[in-house]
Amino acid sequence: MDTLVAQLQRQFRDYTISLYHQLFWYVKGFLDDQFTELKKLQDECSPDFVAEVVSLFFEDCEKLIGNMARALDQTGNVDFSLVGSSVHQLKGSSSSVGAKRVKGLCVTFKECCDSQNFEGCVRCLQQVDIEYKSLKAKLQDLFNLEQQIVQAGGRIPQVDI
Amino acid sequence: MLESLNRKTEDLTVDSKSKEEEEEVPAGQVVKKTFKKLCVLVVDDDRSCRSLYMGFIQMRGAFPYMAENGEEAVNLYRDGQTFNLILMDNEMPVMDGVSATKELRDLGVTSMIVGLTSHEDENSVFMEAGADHCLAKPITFENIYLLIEQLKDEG
Repeated sequence: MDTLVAQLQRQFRDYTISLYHQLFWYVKGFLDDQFTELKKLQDECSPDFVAEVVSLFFEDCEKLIGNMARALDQTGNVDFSLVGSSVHQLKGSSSSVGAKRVKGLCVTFKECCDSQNFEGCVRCLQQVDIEYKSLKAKLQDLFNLEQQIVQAGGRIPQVDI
Repeated sequence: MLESLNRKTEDLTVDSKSKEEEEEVPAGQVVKKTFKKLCVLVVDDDRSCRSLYMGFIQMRGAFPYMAENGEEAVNLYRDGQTFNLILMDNEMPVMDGVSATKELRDLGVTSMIVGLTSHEDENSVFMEAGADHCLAKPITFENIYLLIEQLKDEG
């Protein structure tokens, strides 16, 4: 049982670090320090705090991406300020939860909206959709690992990034 | 028991509720409770931001309240609610943060108002509207900690 816990804890540490750090120079980490701020709020009294906040974030991602897709679908009559407003909201919330790649894409996306670059906006929307889904899957894996550690009788290790 | 706060705060006299009930305040709801701790109003249309700030505020031992836009925040004051600190996002539907700040100051509200900004050029607009400070998003626990400490020092 101890060996299982130790293995799971090692896996958790390695996976957490991989979410923050660049693997290669051209690949950004999924998370930044703001996610660490979020983790500070999780304790025995609020064991699911991070999962709850990121769940709200992903729900809002879906809603905002839907809004952007509908706005961009108005061929020849795209309201770029409407798209830009949704991008701004997404940038704000992704920044608050530490979703580094999503936030970075929103910066580029906003520039495309401001310059009314339709093809650029469509590309950015596709990338944002991919990135938020990718982050959602990775965080779910992280939360699953946490659960496995607790169920095996271990404690979630503190990971210094 | 905290001392009553001066110039940047207003007296609060309300009935008591349990901690669990206090933690489930939906956006815009007027809740009356005994004043034992600082009351902080978070005005932001983003749910994950509100949840995060609520966590930071509770961690610092204060009571968080929520409003989804500037108009809800102004209506809370019109309904007789008061807060020690208002964290005000800017870009929100219905009424933005700068407009809400101006309207609150026109109503005679002296609570500390902190504008939460996404870019630097929002700072001067917020300050002109009557904000006391501006903070760049994303907000950290340390930001909240220092603000609440400042309020306690002024009290």
